[in-house]
Amino acid sequence: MNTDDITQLAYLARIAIDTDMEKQLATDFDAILSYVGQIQEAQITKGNKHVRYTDNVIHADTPSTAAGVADELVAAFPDHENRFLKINQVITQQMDDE
Amino acid sequence: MSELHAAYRSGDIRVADVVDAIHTTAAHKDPEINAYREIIRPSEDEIADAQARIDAGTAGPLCGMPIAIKDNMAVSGVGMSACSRMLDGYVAPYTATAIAQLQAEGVLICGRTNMDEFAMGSSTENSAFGPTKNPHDTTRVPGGSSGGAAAAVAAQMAYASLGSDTGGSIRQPASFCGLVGLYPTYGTVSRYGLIALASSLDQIGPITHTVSDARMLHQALAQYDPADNTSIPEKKRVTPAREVKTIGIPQDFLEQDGISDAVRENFADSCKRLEDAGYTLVDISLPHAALALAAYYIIMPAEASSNLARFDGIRYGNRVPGETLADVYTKSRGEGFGTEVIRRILLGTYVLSHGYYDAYYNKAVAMRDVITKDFVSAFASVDVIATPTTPTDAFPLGDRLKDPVTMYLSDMFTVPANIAGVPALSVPAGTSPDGLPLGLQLIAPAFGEERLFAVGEQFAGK
Repeated sequence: MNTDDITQLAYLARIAIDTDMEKQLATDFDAILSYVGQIQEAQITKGNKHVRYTDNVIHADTPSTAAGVADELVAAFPDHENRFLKINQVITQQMDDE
Repeated sequence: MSELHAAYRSGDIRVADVVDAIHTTAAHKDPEINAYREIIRPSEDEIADAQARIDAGTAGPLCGMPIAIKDNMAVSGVGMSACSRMLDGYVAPYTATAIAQLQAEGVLICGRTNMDEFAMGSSTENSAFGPTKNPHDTTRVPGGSSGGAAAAVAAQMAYASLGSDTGGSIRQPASFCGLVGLYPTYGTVSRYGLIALASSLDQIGPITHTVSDARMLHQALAQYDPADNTSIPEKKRVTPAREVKTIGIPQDFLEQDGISDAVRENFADSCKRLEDAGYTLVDISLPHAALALAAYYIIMPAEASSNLARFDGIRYGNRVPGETLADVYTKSRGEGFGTEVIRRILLGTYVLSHGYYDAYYNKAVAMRDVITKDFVSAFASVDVIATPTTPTDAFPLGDRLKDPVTMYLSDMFTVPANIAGVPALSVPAGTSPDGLPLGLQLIAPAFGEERLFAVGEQFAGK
């Protein structure tokens, strides 16, 4: 694992990190992946799936209002206008002046 | 709590006096311990309501109990930060089901406690608001991630607390602080209103002074909740009710490196105490349990990287301005998250990425089933399994911060129960030569909490 790999992972995870942290994480990752990598050598017998309790949970498809707390959820937005989130413009159109 | 309940019922003490006493103790001790993010004084209405129920003789055993909660559980109108800069100043818009269940019993929330950021850590040193210190020795960690919740109880700043446990975050701090801590069967306590770390592993559970207190709190919490899709309906909770006679000792699992001599000697003493109490100890094998920690440090970060994607500076917490929407995400997350959180998000991103998914994530999920089957096989021949709770006693502050793998190994004994989804209880088991608390971990089959309480009470002495 090198710092370029860390840079790419940070890009994928949408996290800004500085070069010092990139170096530190590259070192940490070598140690962590070495430890968790031991699982790759383990022999796993097939046919052991679904030994934990699992059950499908199905709800009625009816509209709701976020358990009645929509106003509080909106109030927690860092930036909003009325009941709308305010964010940067996502789609831009380049105008051709010529 | 039983003694306080009796004192309430006899009229020897009033709820307001207990609230005052807890508040005074916390104000005096917490500047040094740093167990609390916020000390909360219950409202006069809440105190009066609890007192009225006691006076009317309708109060249950939890009524009027001042209980602290980890700072990752929602209480409507109260701050909730998961001890992250990302959520500093965030106010919960609704109340977690687990908290509402306790409030319905008359429990009084006396504060929200310090924790490792987003519950990622084993020492409470990863909090954005400074480390918590162990009340038994303030140069040592209290464990984590529910270290504040454990320290608050150990320092008499709350009668009990609620923590959350993903890989040992209730049991390990309970052990380090000389307390009782329970990881309930996965699916028995609602996660609605708990900030998720790894959704397939997280459970809320009690940290208490006594086993009977843990039982009381667990009984109030273990209710089906339709708001949590992983909550198991009560009619499907088949309790393996039988008297505990045999206790399994997984010798192969105990032969790992990194276990201190003090822990090995203490565990041998604990086994002797269990035998003296009439239990038959049986050598068993959990052949894959030693690989549980490796599987955990693939599954947990994978789930965390997905769960924490929602913290993007748009819907919660602080937003850092940027030129584009992607800039806002990237800068807000870079500024809001601490090092350990970033480390685990990137690790999760890695193990889920194309080319590595099969080698890491799929392999870990398959290993999880194998480990679960190991437990099912073991419980065919024994009623309960015993291990130490931790491989060492509480370590010095700062000792493992620079070495993540050594920090992760703190959870070697606690993680297998989370991986298998079975309940586990840590009970105090004496002290190390340095005078620091050590714990005994008892593990039962799914829904077998009552077995744990029975053995735990016998071991600890009622």
